[in-house]
Amino acid sequence: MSNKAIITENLGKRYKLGETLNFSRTIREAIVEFPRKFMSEAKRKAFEIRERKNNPDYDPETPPGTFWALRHLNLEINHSDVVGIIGSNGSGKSTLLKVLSKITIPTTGHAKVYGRVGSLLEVGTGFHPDLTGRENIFLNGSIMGMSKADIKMRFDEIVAFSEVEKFLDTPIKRYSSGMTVRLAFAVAAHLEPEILIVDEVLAVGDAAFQNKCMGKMKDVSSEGRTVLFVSHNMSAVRSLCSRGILLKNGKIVVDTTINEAISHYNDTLDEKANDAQLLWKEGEMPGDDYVQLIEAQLLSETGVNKTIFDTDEQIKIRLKYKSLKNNKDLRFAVKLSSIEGETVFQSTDQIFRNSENSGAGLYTTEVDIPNRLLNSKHYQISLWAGTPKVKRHIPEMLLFKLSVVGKVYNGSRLDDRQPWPGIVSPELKWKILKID
Amino acid sequence: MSKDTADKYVQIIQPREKQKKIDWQELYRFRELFGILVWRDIKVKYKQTALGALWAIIVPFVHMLIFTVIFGNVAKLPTDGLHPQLFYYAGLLLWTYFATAVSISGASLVNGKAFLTKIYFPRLIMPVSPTLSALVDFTIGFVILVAMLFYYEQAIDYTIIFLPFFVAIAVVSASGVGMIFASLNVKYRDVAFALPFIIQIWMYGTVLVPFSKLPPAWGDFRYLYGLNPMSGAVEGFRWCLLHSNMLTTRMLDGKVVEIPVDPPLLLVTVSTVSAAFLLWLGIKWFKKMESTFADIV
Repeated sequence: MSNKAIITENLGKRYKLGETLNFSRTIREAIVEFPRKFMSEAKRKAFEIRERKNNPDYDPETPPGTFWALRHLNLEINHSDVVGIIGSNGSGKSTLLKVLSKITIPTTGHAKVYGRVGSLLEVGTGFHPDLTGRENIFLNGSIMGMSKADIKMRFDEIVAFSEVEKFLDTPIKRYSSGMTVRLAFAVAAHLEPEILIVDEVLAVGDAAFQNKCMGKMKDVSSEGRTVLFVSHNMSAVRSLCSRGILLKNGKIVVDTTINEAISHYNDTLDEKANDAQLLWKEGEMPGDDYVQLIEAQLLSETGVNKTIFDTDEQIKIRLKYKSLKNNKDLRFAVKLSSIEGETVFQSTDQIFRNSENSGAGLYTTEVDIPNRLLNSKHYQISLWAGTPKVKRHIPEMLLFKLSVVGKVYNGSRLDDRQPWPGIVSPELKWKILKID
Repeated sequence: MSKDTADKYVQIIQPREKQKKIDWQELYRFRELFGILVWRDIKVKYKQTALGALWAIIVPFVHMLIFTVIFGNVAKLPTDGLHPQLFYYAGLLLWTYFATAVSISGASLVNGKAFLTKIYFPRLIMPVSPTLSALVDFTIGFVILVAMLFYYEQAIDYTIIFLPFFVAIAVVSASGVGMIFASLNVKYRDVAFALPFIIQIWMYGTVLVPFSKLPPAWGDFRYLYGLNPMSGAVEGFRWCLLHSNMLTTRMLDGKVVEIPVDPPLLLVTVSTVSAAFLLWLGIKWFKKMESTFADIV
């Protein structure tokens, strides 16, 4: 017995695009495919080579009208790993979960799963509106794979968790949607498989209930069970998981710690990444006969240009400049302001400039804006450069517009969805003392 | 978790070619779910209806009245020497069971789309459970049949002990046919339109004509009638309930006597084989299509 919970080898899932019933296409494909069935291996090779010559993208495994939702996936997950699977829409996260929970079969490769799998791709699957809450607990529980005895044993816990005691004998079509969801999650939360697969189901109910769900999920993962968790809610993923797998186009991009995976994810998220790097040509560089700005970049901790940052990420600003004179008093200043133009702060590099780094030559100067400082909102960064009492070399100019997203570190236990007030929202330490 | 449990539940997930057999062990593990789905179907069937389970009686009973008037009184079709009311109600009762089971079963996968795409359990449970829950209606309707037997002063014979066998033929056929239509329905929604139509035509072919009135000139070819498994089931069902009144004349010691008809043995045998074949075909077909359900439903 190894310590493995899930091993996949070359796992792949191919889907057909478009209509399932397209007779003209099906017939056309059949005509094209039919002779190939009778070809010998050698002939088939020759055929493929010929095809490839005509069409450089030809791939015998990807006939037209199909795509791979997962491809060449090799994965090893150990027992009691709590793994967050992240990636943008269409990256194959849900397909992976569906394959592992046996809902759909893979096209290539295989997976070995050690232990009972409980999958939670949706809460309340099979709930029947005409049945009472009590009846639905049994129905839904057995659909999820619990035995009747299990459900009976946990019945009181489930009811208490759902907070719908009073309505247990009411048909659930009379429930509010919030009540239904609470009941559904309560059943799901009491599944006790060795391997739990969860897809984006925590986004249910009000904030207080969400919080309760998160707490329950944390309990589950700390009990030493294997959990695979998919969510777009990065703060939920971060707080639950220790390992992170980032998928893109059905392939693993990184398989590392959750924090690294999330910052990689944030890096790939940014479509305006080009706006995070400004380069000036010779002759167009801002500056004068003292200093000339060559390049300005907005970077993530991992050194990727981007303009969308998580609240838990540092923001790096790097400037590359040419100094033409020995000038220890030179100062580059960056100013961060809200998108409405209100200054948040302004900071310069002057006191870090000494006799060693102030001669003529090429330099970079960079600064990190700490994480857990900014609020979840839009900001802009501008720059100016000058030597006090001598001259302003670069007048104030707007460099970047950036967005900060994600959980606001405001001291609340809830991850409030509403905008949190304040130009910044720094993480502060409170101290609570009992004095009586 | 204990490592033993993990060892016990090693599952290999792989492409289709290698997994067409029924996993009996797994089916056994999901027996409770099977029971619960049957229970759910029964429980919700007549929710929010004014007449409730009366519908289980109304449908075959009204059908019977229409058949009696049109085919019995107007068209004067033979009814094996039985009261047309009894003849048609008995046939229609078993038929109604079959028709209900097949139509619910045929729609089970499409209606249970959420199951197919969101949760795993052996899919075979879905088309099979309606064939059991529909038995409840059958039982209710059967009470009326018994009442009718008393009303028409029809003695209940020892042959009634064979009744479960004929019902079983209907259950087996309904499962087989249900599975075929259910899996076809996933890909071709035409089934939703064709199925009621097919069932309607099939009914006339089953309930109206007793085997005894097939032209004797056809000889043994008449037994091909049993390829429709429901014809053997209905014929046998009528026989086991109404045996003592189904009389035939025979020469005995030079005298013409009326004796009860023999059991339709050969016909029932053909139908039993046919029902078993349908079940086999249904399972085979279902297992073949099963792996694509979640992707195309």
